[in-house]
Amino acid sequence: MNYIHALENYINNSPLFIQVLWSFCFVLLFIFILLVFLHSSLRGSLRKKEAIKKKYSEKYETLLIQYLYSEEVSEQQKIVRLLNRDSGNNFKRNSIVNTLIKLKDEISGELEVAILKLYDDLNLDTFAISKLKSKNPFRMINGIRQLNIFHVKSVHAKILEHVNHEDRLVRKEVQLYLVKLFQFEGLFFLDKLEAPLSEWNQIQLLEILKKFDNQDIPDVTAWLKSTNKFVVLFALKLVRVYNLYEKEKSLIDLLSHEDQKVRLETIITATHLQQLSIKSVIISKFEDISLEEQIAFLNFLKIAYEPAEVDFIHTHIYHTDFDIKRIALDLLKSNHKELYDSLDCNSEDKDFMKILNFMNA
Amino acid sequence: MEVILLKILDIFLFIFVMYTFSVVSSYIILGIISTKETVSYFKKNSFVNYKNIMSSEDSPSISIIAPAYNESLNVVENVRSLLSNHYVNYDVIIVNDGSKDDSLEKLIAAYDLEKIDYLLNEQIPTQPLREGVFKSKNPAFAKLIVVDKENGGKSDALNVGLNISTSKYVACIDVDCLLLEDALQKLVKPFLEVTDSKVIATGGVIRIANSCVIKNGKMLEINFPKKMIVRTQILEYLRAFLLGRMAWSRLNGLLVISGAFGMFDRKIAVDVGGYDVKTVGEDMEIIVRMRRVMEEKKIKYRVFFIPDPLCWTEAPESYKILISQRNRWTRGTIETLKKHRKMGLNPKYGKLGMISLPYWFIYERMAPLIEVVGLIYFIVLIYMGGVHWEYAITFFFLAYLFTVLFSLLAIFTEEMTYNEYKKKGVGFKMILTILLEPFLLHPVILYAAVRGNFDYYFNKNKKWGVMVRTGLKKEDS
Repeated sequence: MNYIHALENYINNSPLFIQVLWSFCFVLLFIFILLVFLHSSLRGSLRKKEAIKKKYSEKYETLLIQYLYSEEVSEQQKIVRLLNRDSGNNFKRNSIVNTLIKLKDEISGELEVAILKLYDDLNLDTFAISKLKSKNPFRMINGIRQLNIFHVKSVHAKILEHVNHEDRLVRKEVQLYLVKLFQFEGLFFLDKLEAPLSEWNQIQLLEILKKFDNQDIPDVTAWLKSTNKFVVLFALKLVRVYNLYEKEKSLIDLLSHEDQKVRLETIITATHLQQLSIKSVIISKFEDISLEEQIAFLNFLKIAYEPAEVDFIHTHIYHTDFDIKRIALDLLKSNHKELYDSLDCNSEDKDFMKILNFMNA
Repeated sequence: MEVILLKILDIFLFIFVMYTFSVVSSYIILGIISTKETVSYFKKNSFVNYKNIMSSEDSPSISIIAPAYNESLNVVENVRSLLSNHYVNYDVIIVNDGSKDDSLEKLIAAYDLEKIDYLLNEQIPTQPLREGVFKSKNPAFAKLIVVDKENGGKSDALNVGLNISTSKYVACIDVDCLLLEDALQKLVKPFLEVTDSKVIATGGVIRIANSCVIKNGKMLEINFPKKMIVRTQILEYLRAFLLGRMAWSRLNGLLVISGAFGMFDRKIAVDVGGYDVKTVGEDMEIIVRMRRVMEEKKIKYRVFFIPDPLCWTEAPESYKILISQRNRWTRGTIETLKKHRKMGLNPKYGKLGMISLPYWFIYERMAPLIEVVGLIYFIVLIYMGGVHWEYAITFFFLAYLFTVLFSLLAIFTEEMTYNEYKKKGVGFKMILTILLEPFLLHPVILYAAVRGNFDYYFNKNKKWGVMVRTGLKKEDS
């Protein structure tokens, strides 16, 4: 007690500034002690939460498996009543939904249909739909994701309203919903899309589309002409993946697109489809296009070379870019051996000599 | 005379007080931004499906470049770990940087390698190849390329990797790091997701794997180490990554991506000339240079930081090695800041010139020197009998409490997001580490930084120093 008294005396007799500093110290010390206890309780509660989650997940998994494999309607009804009762509670409802998602991922066929029906019977979709009105993007995403997983098609018009949502994660979820549930028809969101469509989303959408049995792709011409460059880029990927040879005219038009990425993607697509008609267009303006486009075009020539292009190739064997030089020399060697053999082997261009020596080795 | 001396001491006092105040304020601001950003990242990414990206043939190509120097002991297993990534469109380029041991022979035997003819486009000048380029005859290891070259240092080896790679992106890592299977898709995500600016680089958190259990390149068990020197480094890393770099990433002012784990747009990295072989801080230097070029070209760009625990590495377990490592980091920082000093406080370079570089100069470059001057000042005051002990003790308590509270914030961020140290009893050990770290680690780091400054100015020949590794704890497969 004497120490505390002495400390109190010391502080009281100290200058005001020291008193203020000590007050700060005591506040920080108090916060520290509080946080240490909080930390301990946080760790405990995280562990507890995980255990409770596990407990309920196991409980609902058992019940759902019973429901799925039961042949007695009364038993199924009993389980539905139990789940219905629990779904009134937020935590339990989330646990039920998560378990349904987990099971749905593991099964298929009739059992999957039964899970979708159960989701419907429990009216869980109403909770998901209510999230669509939320201002919190994470809640919205959660809702759309759930409606997607449980094939709730009836709300597609409401979801389509968010196709240009300011939050890119919401937009992504809308796109995934539409394409997963409506397959190629779902792609018509591209008509309305004004916001960017990232490369990440494009790959996701393509992978989903590839999994469908029905591979009848709708007409992509309008998307190739879209004013949204991201839609054009995605449409070009569709042309490539689905070998849409009839889009030659659109591809030629896109070679004059203002965006360099679109032009490059067009050349890559034309290469994939071996659209020979683009060659003359590119050759005529080869010096005006970017280096990436030039390299992409020469790679195209590697698979679609015609002897008439010898002059074009010959003019590029001394190009300043290593890759262009290498491809040009390679084409020359493979198609015009005599001309290749007549090349000056004492050039001062180090890269040229390096490539030549490598090819002659 | 005495009056002048007292005046000087007063000026010093003012500088120290202002410096401390600004340090504390900046830490508070960065801490708040970081915590918000980490939690937001964690929330946003809990919805992401990585499966489609990793299995898609349309995903962009990535090369993992891993320089190796005298890594014979673990190189075969480390390469196996790199080859077990789940991403489809990637290759692994191991650059054997003139190792004097049998690393190459071991790799040839383990992966059935054969020498191939390879036309190397030397976009960045490097040391010449020694044995050449190797690929595996076994299709199971088709993704592996081994390059054997004359010794030229880590930067030179990375540059060879940049020359060899034909991928759109390159992930530069330390060969002894454990990369989790989903590391590539998480690191490449910002490159594919951002549509309004060019992403030039992404970096990830480095976690400390000492005492963790690893099997077949997979993390089986995460343990909090027994050695206090490692524990304090874990705390330091959490603070730096979760409370520092996340904020700088949010502000688009990040200057460092750890050399142990970072991804770059290959074309941009090559265009700026690759890694600087003259610096020991090549990881910081390349980022600053890439940013500088983007600023000069007036291209809108971003550098991202990913807080997911994707890359695990071994931390020094001895003070000698720790000092050598931090000495190198200090010299690297000095070299980079000196090389790019033109950008400092230059409005032409935007945030980079006006915020990031000045911050780095004042609070990273100068911090150890100011601290040492402060200590000398304090000793002079003691000698002159000019210490107001009641003030000194109070300030000491305040500084200590602030430090531990800041560390606690880092621990809270970790617990609320990734919560990697779940085992019972670890919480207490963490708190103990927080309380002891200012006395156990900080003086060592300060000493290393001062040595780094000394070596930079008076021992120019000093380069990397040796990192002796004990090897991560691995379970037999």
